[in-house]
Amino acid sequence: MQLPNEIEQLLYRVEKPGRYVGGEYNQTVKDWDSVDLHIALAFPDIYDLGQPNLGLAILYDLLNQAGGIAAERVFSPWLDMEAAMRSAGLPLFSLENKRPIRDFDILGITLPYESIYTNVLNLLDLAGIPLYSRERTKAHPLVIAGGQACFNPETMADFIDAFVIGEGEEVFIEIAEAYRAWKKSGGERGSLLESLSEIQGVYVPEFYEVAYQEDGRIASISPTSSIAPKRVRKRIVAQLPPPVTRFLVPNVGIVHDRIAIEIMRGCTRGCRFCHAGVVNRPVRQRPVAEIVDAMEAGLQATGYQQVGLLSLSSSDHTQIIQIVDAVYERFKERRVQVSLPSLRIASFSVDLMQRLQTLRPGGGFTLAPEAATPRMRAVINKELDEAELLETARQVFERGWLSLKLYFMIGLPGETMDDVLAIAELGKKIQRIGWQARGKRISVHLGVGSFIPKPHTPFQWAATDSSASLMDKINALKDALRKTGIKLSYNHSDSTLLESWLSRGDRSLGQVIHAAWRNGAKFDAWNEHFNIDAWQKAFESVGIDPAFYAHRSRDLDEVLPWDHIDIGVNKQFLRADWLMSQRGQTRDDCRDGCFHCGILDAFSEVQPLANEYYWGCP
Amino acid sequence: MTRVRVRYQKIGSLRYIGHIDLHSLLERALRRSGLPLRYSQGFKPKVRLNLASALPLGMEGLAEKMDFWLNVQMETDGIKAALIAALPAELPVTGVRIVDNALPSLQADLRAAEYQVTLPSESCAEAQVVLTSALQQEKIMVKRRNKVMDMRPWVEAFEWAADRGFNIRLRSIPQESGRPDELLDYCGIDPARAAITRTKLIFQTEE
Repeated sequence: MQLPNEIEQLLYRVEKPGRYVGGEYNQTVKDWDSVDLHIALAFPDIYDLGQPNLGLAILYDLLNQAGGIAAERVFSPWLDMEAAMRSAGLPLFSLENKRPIRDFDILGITLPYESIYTNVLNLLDLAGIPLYSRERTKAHPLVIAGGQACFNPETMADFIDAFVIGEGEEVFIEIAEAYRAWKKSGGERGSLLESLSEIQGVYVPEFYEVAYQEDGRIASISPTSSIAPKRVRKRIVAQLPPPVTRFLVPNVGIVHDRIAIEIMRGCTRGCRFCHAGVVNRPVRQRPVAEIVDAMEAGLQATGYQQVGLLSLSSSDHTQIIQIVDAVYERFKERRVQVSLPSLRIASFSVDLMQRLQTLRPGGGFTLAPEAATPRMRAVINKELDEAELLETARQVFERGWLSLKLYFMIGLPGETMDDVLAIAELGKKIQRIGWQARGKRISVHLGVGSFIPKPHTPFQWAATDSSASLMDKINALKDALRKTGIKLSYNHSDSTLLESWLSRGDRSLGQVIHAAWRNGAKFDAWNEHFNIDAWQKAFESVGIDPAFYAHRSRDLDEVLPWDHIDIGVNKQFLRADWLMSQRGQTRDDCRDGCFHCGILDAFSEVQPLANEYYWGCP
Repeated sequence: MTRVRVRYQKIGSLRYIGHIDLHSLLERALRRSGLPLRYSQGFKPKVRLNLASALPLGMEGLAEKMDFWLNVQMETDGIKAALIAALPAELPVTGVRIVDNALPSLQADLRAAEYQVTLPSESCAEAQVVLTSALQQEKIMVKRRNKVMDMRPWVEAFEWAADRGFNIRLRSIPQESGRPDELLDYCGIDPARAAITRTKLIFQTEE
């Protein structure tokens, strides 16, 4: 592929130019004029972070296999390349055909988390596309977004023409077809948006009106067009489509040099802090043979030696033992490293890991108790017997691992300093167990994250703990762990504040995001680039108090900004769960008995009967 | 143990891939090829693979060389077909031979390299003047990272190519390896505006 001259001259001077040139093994480059629909898939962070994203790989594969579509990739250029492009007046271009993004019909943006929002504005600006949806005409690409952050689309509603709520595999094709039909019809932009809003799982913010109360809370959210549904129900695929195996192989080092196979989507555990566990219901599994065959094909197609078997809770796959056995049998003669994240705390998980380790040894062991006292574990609905945790830790050390990492959260609703200090105590107990098993060689690492309440979870009504309180808790942990040799890491930083401002935001935050970007905010997810001043000034200039979004408990009957987004789980269920949490009551794993969260009522029509594609719902 | 010597090109967008990344790219490609590869010994075995010389970022290479090893004997045609299928299009294979295991490594054997430099046509005449005078000097002091070196003795041959630029042969042994982009920089010509191609690697024993 001959690069346009303007691009080439910039590449000589920037760091890692391989990020901007494409040319990877397994990339799909179509003749531009041979297709009638051009879709740019954007991940608004640098190539190194965006390229390994599985969602992007799935859509790239799927759209390029559909007839008449060229799907090309685009990422945020790093600061040096951005400066070079701006000074050369070069617009953002795609990696495949090196075409300006504004020449595409559709720009599909992945929004996995909130700290990527200013990068979206920067990306649109670099592409020469008006930032605000209302300023675009049919001469501009249709700008759509999808991903886990879109379950509350309101914060970004000003900038996105249409959101995909839920899983994109089927709905993206329907969007492409609607676009194609509209293009043929020669209609106005408004008629395109109307036809999109008729697709289940597509949310067009322009067709909804938000009324506020005097104190800034929402009075109502209502459709302004008769075509727009009152509530937009998310899309799911009834059965996971065949996994991607023809992974694009990056030429420059990226964060995960491996193939990823999703073994299960969704989770039945019902941890109350967990966004992914609620919004990705119901549980859908992949059959054993499909997983092992996909590994084989994926390794063959890429030349990688590492595989990540992904899910929210690996040990809950009903055939996890068969999967591990089959993987072991198939790959025992080869040098393949298999990772199985998110294992339940039980000795059985150690058995699984040990089996996989024999394929290729190395690495540490990770467990996530999340809270250190039985009381807090009841609050978050992650019940766990401490004796079982200690026994699991003992097994980890006895079977050969020398390091154990444990994840916890602080800032949970109802948490006291005693609950926090118990994290250090638990760490010490585990360290002693390690010493008994293997001597002083072992290491214990505690990873402590600050809890941020997320929309659609039972904790969506809770206030985020104050920064001062979180810092006190971290300092108390540091003190308690001094001279113990236990490693403590924590992620509390200004950028977690940003997440708490934006994740439960409404449409009024659009102007704040815009102001923050104008003040220079970008790459907010990068701690070293996060510019809290830019954000604080933005909130001030717009006259909004960020604490209103972060540190305020919501009334149970308050209209929440995402109430018109229907994830299939009903609000009464979440409310009951929130009240149970305050009483310290727990719910069992819902595959043992249905609690009527609503997901089955919403999607029973598509539930497959075939046992192989078993849903977690009883 | 069969030592396979491959002649290949590194062109198009792949010229923006650095040496370390190229090494892992080739390793993955060799694994995709399904050939019976020889691995290194040790805790984390790696594909046994040697490259002749790092090609500076941004330059194309038309006659690059690498060695890798197979556990069994094989016909070169079969090896070549497997490699072509596994390599990206911008890394075409132009030759495959079986060579003696006793030969020195490509790196140790390398002596010099030839480059073809194409300059923007409007600045060609001016560049000719500066380059000619630079080469008449006794020393050409260039900066690489934090070291200043004299690259004049490493220029083994230079010929002007009318209306296009020039061809140059530079010594290429450890500590004494010349780079045409550094010469351009020295002469005040922006290397980003030149197209540089390494056309030949010259070895002591290997032809």
